[in-house]
Amino acid sequence: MRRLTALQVERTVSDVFGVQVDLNVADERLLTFRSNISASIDTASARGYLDFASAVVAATDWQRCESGCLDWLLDEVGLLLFRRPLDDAERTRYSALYELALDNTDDPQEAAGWVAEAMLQSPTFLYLDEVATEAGVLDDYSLAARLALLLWGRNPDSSLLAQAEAGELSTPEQLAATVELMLADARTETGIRDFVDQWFDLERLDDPEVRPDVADLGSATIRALREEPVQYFLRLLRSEAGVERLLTDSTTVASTELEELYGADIVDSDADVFELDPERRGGILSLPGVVAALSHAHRTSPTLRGKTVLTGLLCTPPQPPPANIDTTLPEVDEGVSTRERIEQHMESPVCGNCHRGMDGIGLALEKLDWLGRYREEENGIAIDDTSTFPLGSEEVTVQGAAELGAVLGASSSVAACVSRQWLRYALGVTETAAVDCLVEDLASEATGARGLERMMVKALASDWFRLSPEAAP
Amino acid sequence: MIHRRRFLAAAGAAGGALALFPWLGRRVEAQTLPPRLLLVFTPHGTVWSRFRPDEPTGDFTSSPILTPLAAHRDKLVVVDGLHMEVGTEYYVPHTYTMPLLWTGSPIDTASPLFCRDDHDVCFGWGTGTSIDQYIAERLVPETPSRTLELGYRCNGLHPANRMIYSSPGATKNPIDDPELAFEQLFGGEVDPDAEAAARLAFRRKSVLDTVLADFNARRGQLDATDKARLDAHADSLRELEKSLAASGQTCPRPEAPTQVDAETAIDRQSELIASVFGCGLTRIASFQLRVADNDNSLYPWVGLEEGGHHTLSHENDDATLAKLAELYAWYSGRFAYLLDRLAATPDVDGTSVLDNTLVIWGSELGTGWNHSLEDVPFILAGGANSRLRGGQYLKVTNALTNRVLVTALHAMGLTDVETYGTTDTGSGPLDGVLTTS
Repeated sequence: MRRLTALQVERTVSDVFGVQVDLNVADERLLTFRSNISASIDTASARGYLDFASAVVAATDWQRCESGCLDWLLDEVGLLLFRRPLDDAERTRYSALYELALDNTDDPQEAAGWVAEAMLQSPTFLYLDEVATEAGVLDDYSLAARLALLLWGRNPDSSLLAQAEAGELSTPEQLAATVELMLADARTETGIRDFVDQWFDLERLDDPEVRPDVADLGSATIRALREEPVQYFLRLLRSEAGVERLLTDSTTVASTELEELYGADIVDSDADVFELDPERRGGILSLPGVVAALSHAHRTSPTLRGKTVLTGLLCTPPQPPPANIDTTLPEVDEGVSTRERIEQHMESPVCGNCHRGMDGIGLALEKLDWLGRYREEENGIAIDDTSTFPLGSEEVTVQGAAELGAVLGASSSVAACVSRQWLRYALGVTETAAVDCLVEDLASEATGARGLERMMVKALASDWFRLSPEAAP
Repeated sequence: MIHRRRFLAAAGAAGGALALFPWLGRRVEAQTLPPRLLLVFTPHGTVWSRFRPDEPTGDFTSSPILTPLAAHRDKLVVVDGLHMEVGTEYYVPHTYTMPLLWTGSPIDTASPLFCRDDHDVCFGWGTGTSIDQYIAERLVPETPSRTLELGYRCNGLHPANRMIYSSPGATKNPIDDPELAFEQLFGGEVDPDAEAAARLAFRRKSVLDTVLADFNARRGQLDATDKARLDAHADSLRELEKSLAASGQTCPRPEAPTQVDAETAIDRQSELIASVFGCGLTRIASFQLRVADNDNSLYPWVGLEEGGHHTLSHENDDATLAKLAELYAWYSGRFAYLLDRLAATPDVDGTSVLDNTLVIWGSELGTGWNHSLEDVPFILAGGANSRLRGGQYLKVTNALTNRVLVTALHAMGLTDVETYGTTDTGSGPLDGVLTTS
């Protein structure tokens, strides 16, 4: 049973009440994705919901329903918050609360506030209320909720709920057709933003305490750094690309804030796109926001970058180091390049074992610095960005970001892993081995013309998405 | 007796504290209360070469990292040589030991549902109950809040980011921002109009009753796991309602925290903790400074301006260790300031809050760069009535951190407990740390 993320709650409330209020309740992270599937709400978080509900009620313009706030709450607000019509018991309960408030305050708007405050704290709003048929297929309201929260990052609107009411999401074909329409809908930008942003941990760019170097760039540039990978993904999705282009394409969306940072990397541009030097840049990994997020303050991190490739693009995360072993590291000379420092560290057999694979991949991105700028030198030393690492059953050697992207883009492991990430994000639970068959199917859809779209649609029309968690294959 | 009279006079001047806060009176009457308890966490162990004093006797606070604590030396027990037993062959560094720290029980590695990290290892939440919660359960303090969790920058819900467990799998979220903490603890000024206050309380209760009825209707349709999760949420709502009702008669408001930034926020929280203890909002608290999960914050005011704490803690060349030692010494300074504030806050019996408090400072591992679970640093601090035999640098061998937990339980009067947590293979409190009562 998933609890909505803070962002999903805030966006939904903004749609329904027309107010922007921050919700101060922490989210869980399932791998890199936010999904609240296990933690229970303690008093501090309950207080967060209470304060949120009070603030929303205080900020709402109650004039909008002057003549009939109770009906508005029961018929419209209730439907939009609970993602299905209120049942009779709920209507009775909320009506009774309204009457009680009216008896005590003699003020219809105040009474409406009581009801809204209760609805906003109700488990029916905060937790997904999924209902399945005997065959285990989720009912249409449950599917509408899944789709909207995934693709729009918020509750379904009244038209999607009307489709659910009419039973128009019941078959895989109906579901696929709806998903195709939703992917083309501008609102889906929000869901793709959540997906890409969390996948590459772009939130790391927005913490001035951890990244004062990024903070110094100013909020407009930070926003642009964080947004570019999202728009890059969307552009590929909308231009009928396959997953391979996600790793190789050297065309990105134009952004005035990033023009200076790219500098000579831009070889051509128009109002919509920058054509980047394909020798220097290719694929989502080489975008400034991604390499900057996968850095530390004022220094690159081949380890972090390599780990993200292994985890996020190959789905072969490195093992944690063994406990309590002697991992004495050799002393590192001062003033050496990042590469040398890492290679000296790798002389330790215990660390080197795992770090060679991880840091090895990361070293291919060394010419992109901690803010994502292209560079040829570090400390006056020419950067060597060759990188040798195991990929599948063979060992590959690449030089630079573009070659790394080309090798990854051609790898079937990457197509499978991207599909797996999408599925993970869509389901919000850690998948079991049983999902491997579907991942294989999705990977074969993912490459070639319209590959990204076909893969994403197929995942959402699959039984994994349509069935309740208990009934899923 | 003189002390008590002086306090009452002071309380009278402050506006009749006893009339407003009846629990203070109960505390004055009780003769032998267990001390207060405060658990403190900072991330990523220490640098032992700059923590351990040359001479473990006498002036043991002479090492670079312990120097800021010199003024409190007589009230300290520094423990050197404790290790953690993680209970699994492999462990995800930082993550697996955070739930272990105050519970003495391992993380749940059998949970197939909750793969919580990018290592190819599944785990869940902790399997134990942290000592503060256990103590609250046993002693049932009559304070408005049974326990209080404060912190700084504790981030999202993840086993590496939480250390307090009210029961296996159920963590408590610290209020990790001084302004929010002030608002929640002292913010609501008592409405002088009793009728208005009563109206607000009635509204809150009526709304909550409706919400709880929703919970009740919903739980009927759920399996056991989801039901337990929803029940825990409903329990929290009830507890919240109780504490909000009590805060209608809240403590005198201390000054609101101002100028809060990364360098000062911890001290601001320390001041709030002193206020909270001083006015008796709770007797059991925890204070979590940042997270075990790769804390990569920078601390430019101690010269840590690039990389980040976690990244640097993976290096062991001398220059890096010196830089890290500056950071750990700064944390010692924050701990010293916390003790200063507790010492400067008068207690109802005429002594200071620190005199009646046991403070325990620990970390999720011993040494950062090799994720060593040997030599996890612990510092205990406490005043005359905490039963702590201060002024010691205690070298122990072959002892688990669970010994610290049992020591805390004994100090709090729960002397029937000899082992704590499922990893515990030893028995009893640390030798020579507590006075015999």
